[in-house]
Amino acid sequence: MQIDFKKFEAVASTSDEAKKLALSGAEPWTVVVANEQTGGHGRKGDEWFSPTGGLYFSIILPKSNIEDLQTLTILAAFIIAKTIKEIYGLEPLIKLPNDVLLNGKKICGILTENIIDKEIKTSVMGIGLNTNIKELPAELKGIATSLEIELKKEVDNEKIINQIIEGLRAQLEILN
Amino acid sequence: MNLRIKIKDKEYDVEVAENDHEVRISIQGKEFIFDLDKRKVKYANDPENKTECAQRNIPEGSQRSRGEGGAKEGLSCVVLPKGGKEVKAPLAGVISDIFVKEGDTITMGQKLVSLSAMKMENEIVAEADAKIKKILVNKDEKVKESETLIIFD
Repeated sequence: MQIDFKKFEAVASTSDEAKKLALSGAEPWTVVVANEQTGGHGRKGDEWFSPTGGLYFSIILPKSNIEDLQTLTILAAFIIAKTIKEIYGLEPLIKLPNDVLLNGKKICGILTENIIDKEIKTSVMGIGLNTNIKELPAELKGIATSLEIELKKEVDNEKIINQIIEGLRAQLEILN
Repeated sequence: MNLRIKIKDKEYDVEVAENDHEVRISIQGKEFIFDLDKRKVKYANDPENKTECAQRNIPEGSQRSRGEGGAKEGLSCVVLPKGGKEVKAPLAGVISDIFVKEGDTITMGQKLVSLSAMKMENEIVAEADAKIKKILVNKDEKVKESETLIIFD
């Protein structure tokens, strides 16, 4: 199935956009990408700092059972870490179940959201990766970092997103 | 109005109640509700067999014959794995949010609760239009798989 990128300058949340699209009939592997999120969030509504420069995207996943979705959510951390290592030679650490750390600081957030009535209607995996963020706010400096801060240079967001999505597709095929 | 009807030597107890907007027909404990405004089977439930009708349009002609035409539609039910008069937890987890309150009238697809489980956020939405009778859980409460969360009227 074709990957269909829906690109936005700024949205409140790429996952909220993706869920709306999914409920109006968008196909699996539709990917909502935004340069900036004004209301990016993690689990329990925790805010995800999402300024311009970072990589924020949400993928409408094919219908799968809940166990496979959980496995994929955990495998997403491995795929992201592998992508960072392969492209930039960094040594990310995976803090189980699904946090990716660089130098002990968080670099990535992954949240899978399912909409369920009598069965799973749709699943969206949201990923926020701190890529080209030059500086983090004071309250995040001790706990988070970005690829640009670590590498002291800008990275290629497009190359990273393509590699992550291909990795997820390959994993889901294996799971299914 | 209570009726006893006989079809092919078998007798059925039928109860019919109607107002300006809907007709409720209860046949041997199985209830079918026909929304006259939207001409749809709004809700129908068989608690014994967990049989529930999907929303389906009632043909134009049925409005003239009301319950009779609708009953034919109501008989073409589909069997769903669960649902009915309550919402159960699809998996074990923690209730991270509750979007409704007791007494609320909700519509199909409306967000009811959010269940945080296995590093995923699961938004549980209404299968059909209904009225909420009881909410059995609180925010931040742990729930087991299949535990009843909400009961409908």
